[in-house]
Amino acid sequence: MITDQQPKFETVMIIDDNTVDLYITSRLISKNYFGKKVLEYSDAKEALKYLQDNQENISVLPQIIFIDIYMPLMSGFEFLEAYDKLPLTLKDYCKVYIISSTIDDNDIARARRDKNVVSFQVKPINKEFLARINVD
Amino acid sequence: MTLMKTKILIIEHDTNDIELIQNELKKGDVNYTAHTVGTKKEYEKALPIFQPDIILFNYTFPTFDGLTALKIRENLVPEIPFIFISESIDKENTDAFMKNGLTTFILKKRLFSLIDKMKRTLHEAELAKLNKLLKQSEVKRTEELAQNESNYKSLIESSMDAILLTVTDGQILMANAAACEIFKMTQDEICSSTRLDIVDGKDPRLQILLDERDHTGRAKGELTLKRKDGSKFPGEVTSIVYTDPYGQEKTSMTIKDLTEQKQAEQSLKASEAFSRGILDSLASHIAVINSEGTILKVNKSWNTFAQNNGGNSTDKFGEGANYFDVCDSKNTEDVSFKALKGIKDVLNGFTNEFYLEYPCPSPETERWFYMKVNKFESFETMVLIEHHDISERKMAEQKLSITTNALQRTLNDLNNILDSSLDVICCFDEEGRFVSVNAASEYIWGYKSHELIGKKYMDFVFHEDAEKTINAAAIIRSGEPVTIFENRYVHKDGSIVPVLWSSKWDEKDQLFYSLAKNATEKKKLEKAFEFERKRFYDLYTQAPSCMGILKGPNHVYELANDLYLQLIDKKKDIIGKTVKEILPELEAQGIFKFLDTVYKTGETFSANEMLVKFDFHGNGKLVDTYLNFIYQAHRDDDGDIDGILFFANDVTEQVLSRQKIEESVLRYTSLIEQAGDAICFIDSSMNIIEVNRYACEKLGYSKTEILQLSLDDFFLEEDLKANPLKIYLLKEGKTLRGERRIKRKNGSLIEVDLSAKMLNDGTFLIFIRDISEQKKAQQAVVESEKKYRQIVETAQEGIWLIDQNHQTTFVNNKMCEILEYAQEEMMGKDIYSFMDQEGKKIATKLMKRKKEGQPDQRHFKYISKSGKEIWTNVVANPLFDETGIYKGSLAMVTDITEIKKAQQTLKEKEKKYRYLFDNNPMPMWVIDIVTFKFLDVNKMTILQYGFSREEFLSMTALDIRPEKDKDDFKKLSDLSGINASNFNRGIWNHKKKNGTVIPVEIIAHEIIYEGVPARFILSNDITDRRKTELNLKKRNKELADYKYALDETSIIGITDRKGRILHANDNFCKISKYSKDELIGQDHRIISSGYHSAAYIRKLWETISSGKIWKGELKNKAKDGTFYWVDTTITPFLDEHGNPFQYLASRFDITASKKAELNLEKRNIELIKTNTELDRFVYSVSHDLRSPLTSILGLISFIEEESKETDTLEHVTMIRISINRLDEFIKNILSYSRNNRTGLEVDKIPLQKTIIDIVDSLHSMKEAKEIHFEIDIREHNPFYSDSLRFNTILVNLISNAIKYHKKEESGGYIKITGQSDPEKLVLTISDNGIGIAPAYHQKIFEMFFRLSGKTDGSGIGLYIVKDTVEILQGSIEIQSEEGTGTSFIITLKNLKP
Repeated sequence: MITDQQPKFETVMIIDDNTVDLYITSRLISKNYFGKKVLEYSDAKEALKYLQDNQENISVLPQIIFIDIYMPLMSGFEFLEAYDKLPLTLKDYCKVYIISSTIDDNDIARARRDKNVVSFQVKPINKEFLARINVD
Repeated sequence: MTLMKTKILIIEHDTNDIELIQNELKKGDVNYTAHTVGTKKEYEKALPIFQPDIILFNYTFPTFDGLTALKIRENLVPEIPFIFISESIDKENTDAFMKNGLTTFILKKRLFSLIDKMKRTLHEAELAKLNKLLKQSEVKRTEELAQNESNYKSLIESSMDAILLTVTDGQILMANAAACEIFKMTQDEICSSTRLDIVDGKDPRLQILLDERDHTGRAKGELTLKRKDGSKFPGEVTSIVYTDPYGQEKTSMTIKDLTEQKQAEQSLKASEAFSRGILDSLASHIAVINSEGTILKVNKSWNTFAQNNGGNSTDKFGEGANYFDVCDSKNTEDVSFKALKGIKDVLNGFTNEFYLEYPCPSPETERWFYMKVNKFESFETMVLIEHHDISERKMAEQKLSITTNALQRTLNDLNNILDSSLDVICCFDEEGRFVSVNAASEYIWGYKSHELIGKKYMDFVFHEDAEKTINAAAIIRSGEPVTIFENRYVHKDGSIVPVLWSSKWDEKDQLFYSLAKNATEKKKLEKAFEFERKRFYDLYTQAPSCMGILKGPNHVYELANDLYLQLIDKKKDIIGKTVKEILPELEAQGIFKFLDTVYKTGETFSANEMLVKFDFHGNGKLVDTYLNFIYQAHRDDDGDIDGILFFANDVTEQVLSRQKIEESVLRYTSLIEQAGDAICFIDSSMNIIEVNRYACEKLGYSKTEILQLSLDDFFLEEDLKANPLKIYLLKEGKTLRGERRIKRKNGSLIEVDLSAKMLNDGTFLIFIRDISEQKKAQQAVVESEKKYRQIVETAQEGIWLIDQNHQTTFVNNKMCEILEYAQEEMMGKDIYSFMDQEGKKIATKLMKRKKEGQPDQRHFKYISKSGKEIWTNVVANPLFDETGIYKGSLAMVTDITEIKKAQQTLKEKEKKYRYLFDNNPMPMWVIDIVTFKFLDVNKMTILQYGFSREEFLSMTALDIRPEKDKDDFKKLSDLSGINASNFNRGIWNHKKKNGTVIPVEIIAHEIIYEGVPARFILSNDITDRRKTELNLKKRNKELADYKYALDETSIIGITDRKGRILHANDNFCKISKYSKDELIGQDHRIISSGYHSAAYIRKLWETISSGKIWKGELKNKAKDGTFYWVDTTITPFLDEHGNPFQYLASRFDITASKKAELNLEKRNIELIKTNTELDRFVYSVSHDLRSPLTSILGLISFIEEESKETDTLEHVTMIRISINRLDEFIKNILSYSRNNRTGLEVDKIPLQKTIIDIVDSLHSMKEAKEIHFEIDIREHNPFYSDSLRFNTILVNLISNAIKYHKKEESGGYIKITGQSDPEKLVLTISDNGIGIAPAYHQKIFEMFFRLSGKTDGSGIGLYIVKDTVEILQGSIEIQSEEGTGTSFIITLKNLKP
């Protein structure tokens, strides 16, 4: 292990109402030099607000977004509907991954159909999954 | 050995068993003596006294046990063999026995081996004894011991349970393989440890067990045990203390690993908790009670509710309490009472379900609940009671009801307005029930509105108007508003009220809105008018003269009475036609001009005895008719002429008869004037008042002169003296006649014949005929009297006189008449000129003979003047003069032409009748009415009866009767003789010649046959008709039977073409609750429920009215308003044109099954709903359960990476395994739930790709690393199935194959082969893993069945596979042997759409 290894991505956003999962993902990211900065949100609305507020400012936008499906107030799918309305420049820059403990085939199929979603991953995520995500 | 008697001691008390053993002993060639003992004392006594060679002991001996017996033997006679005979072998006891010196044992069912075993044992014992005696060798003893030890060692080694031998409370001496496995230690390791190392010393149960063991020498119980690695597991321990041959006290321990059992128990508990969790989270309060009313199970809501509402409720409502007691109530109106009855009904199986809504007010609010009781399917009778809060619904209903009330008030206001109307304003529902009616109903019909509401208006309609009303209702129902429609209602007081209706059907409200006016006044007016009209009409139709009205300038008949029609002899309808059309012949007669004039001027035209010529037959022949008639102008209300009234009287008869009289007067006058006799009229003073011309001429006076004279002036005085005129006689009315002489003017006298008579007016009429010439002729006649005497004598016939040259010298008038000649024409003519050639020939011969003096008489044919053949009967006589010379002939001729003709016709007719008689297809004959002899028979009779004509003519009618009928025949014949002209008709039996008797129908006429009274008989064989009649009767009977059967079994109704009920059987009445009288004549809609859609009913009518049979289910309504369902077949009866004229409906009552069907449907919908809810619930529960698991897994992976502590890492691995198992279980539960609740979604499945994807995803499993996969799929045809389920099957089977491969060995493989065809897919998943013993091949598919506790499995995987395969309409098969691998062969149906 090289301590001064460079992180793969500059900014990674995690949206999960479960703080334990938020912690796990966040820790996995930093331990595996996946992201330099981790934006943690337990409320999808706030995460969306961040993206909307900073849509002009690419430098602070996350390159990777991990989002859960089942969350109160705004679900992952609702988030994706709103996300689709964001500018193309932002959508080109961010890659969305759905991370969920669901094993409902309907959810999985729906996630796969969404053109803004790169892939669907069943929880828990591990370092192999992170290793498969590369910069383009 | 056999030489010596073997002494056998049998310890046994059951005599049956003793006998069995002795039988067995007798079978063998054993020379023995046996002694039987039954108690311990006897046994102890017998041993030293009897000194047995062998001891047989029954293990199941009740009074003292085998071990004791064995121990006694050990003490007293250790070398004597001891054999146990036992029902079964218990390993535990066997061990103890063996250690106590048991020689061998025999199972009772193997008693046949007793002799052999005994012999061997005795032999061995003998040897042992010898050895003992000879050597007492320690070595031998050791060997023997070693042998014994190896015997039971193998027993111990092969045990599935761990067996340990220890020094009591000390070192472990020996452990078997199972023990090593259980404790995960080698044998050495076990033997170097003590009990403390393998038993958890902290287990409180240990001390209890030890105490028990010390006390009794043996103990059994559960203990916590420790493995080498320190892990603990539950086990069942059996411990027995014994003393070994060396006298050392030792303990044997048998240990059973209970881990799996415990786990299974735990899973069971978990799953129970899971179900319970679901149950408890339902809002409904649910309890299960058994048939005694004991509450077996309740859910949380039940308890919560009970606590909130009843306080100390758990003992009253909770589990174990009795629900019947809770519900016990004496008041039948009480909810509890109803509830209890409902529960018991369901329990007793009277109903499947019970439902009750009841109020349950709490202190704060009003609340409502429903209670539902369902049968709970289980091994004992139980019911599920569910209470559910429905307050909200009820509240809503109540609110609705308040709203309805408000609306009702508004409606009431409106009703008040309506009620002030004098006309009835009402509405009916589609069945014709009054829904509302205003107060006017009382005024018009006598019924208050509340008396009418809910009743059918048809019940109030006057019965004669029923059909009319139904028809009108149907028209209104079709959407056509009927503005004026009239019918009659029956007033409450029974009087008839005519009502004028206007009505409209509202499709939206499904109501008839109607306005009814009392039409009584109108009716009365109408009646008065009608009365007037009738009076006029009577006048008009019954008047004795013809009358009528012509309308318009063209004179169109508007009215004409019957008399007029008779007059013009036109029966057809003349109304609406012009006079010209009807009587065109009148135009030429100028009648139309009169009509035109009257029409134009208005002046009345009248005529008397006007001649009108009618062409009655339309053939141009005009018939004179005399009429008196009047044409009078008819004026309209404005006084303008719009037609003509005509009156006519036919006076033809009067005119004609008057004319006849006038004519006859004229005729008489001229007759008198022109008469050939002189006629004169004289008055009573004998003065001449009138004479005719002839009289003037005859008397030589002019008329004027004659009228100056008196009658006396014409007679000579001398004549009057001699023969005075007898005037007085004339005055008495007598006619006088006589010959007198009359003086003429010139004084000459003439002879006259006078005839005088007094006329009515008192004058006298006198005829005077000049008989001077007559007198002269008389004179001549007298002179020739002699000559013509013969002529005069025969003058009635034609007389023909010829001379010798055949010239006619005389013919009389008759003769002329016969031959149509005038006398002058015949006179002097040759007689031959009146004959044809044939006649002349005959006549020539006759003439010759006449000249010879021969008279003759014969039929002879003359030819008349017109050429007709005249047949005559001629009697001719020759005439000779005094000298005898032929002078001619005299013939008397009678015309017989008519007779001849008649004879000829008769002959021809006779022939015709004869032919008809002879060739008639019916047998006919004639018999003598007195003798009954056959007078004639026709051919058919001969043919049919078999007698010849000759035979018949010698027989009587009696001969063709059977014996017994003969008397009857005679009697009846007499009777019929009374009324000779009548014909007699009847059925008789006749006998043929061959003796067969046939039924015949006889028609007899009385006739005269050849002058004899006879009977003409016509016979008709009715054998065939009889047969047909019998057949018909039979057929009729059959039909009656059918009808009876049908009437018994089904509901029968017959309607006419319009649906009016003509027939209804008893069943129909029974189910509809109407009487026959109420049904018959009614429209079938009387039983209509209104349940079915108009389209459904229309379809029905379309079907049957086109002559086809209709089948279907119908909901009908009975008289009391209840409904019933019938399975109905309607068959149209067709007329000769194929059109239906009646319909037969046969119905079967299916109300009960229909109700059940509807209930089932309802229940099904509920179930589907519950299922969906449960599915969603299960899904979200498993998701929520799974979510924290994934978190834990995430955290574990950190520990795994970061921790250096071996223990921690080990624990973390165990946590991971546990979590994976839990996760797997949740997934399985989910897919199980899904499998059972979701429908099939059939798609095309790309087999190769799908399988590779699955294998790829499973390849990441840790165990899969070393396994080689082979996939060989042949997709001959596209395969269609549910892809999610297909995946489930494959994932489960492949991951099983991975999990259960041989971990120690390399070269593991999994082969997936398959091929699809249009029908199915066959897929084989084979591995070379650990395999499954055939004993478990069926069990593995059971839920929660697991083969080992070693791997993580929930025991649900294969269960789901099998379930899923079955849902996909397939099958699964397993081929496996332990240690060699497993193949699963799946066959799935190709669900190609």
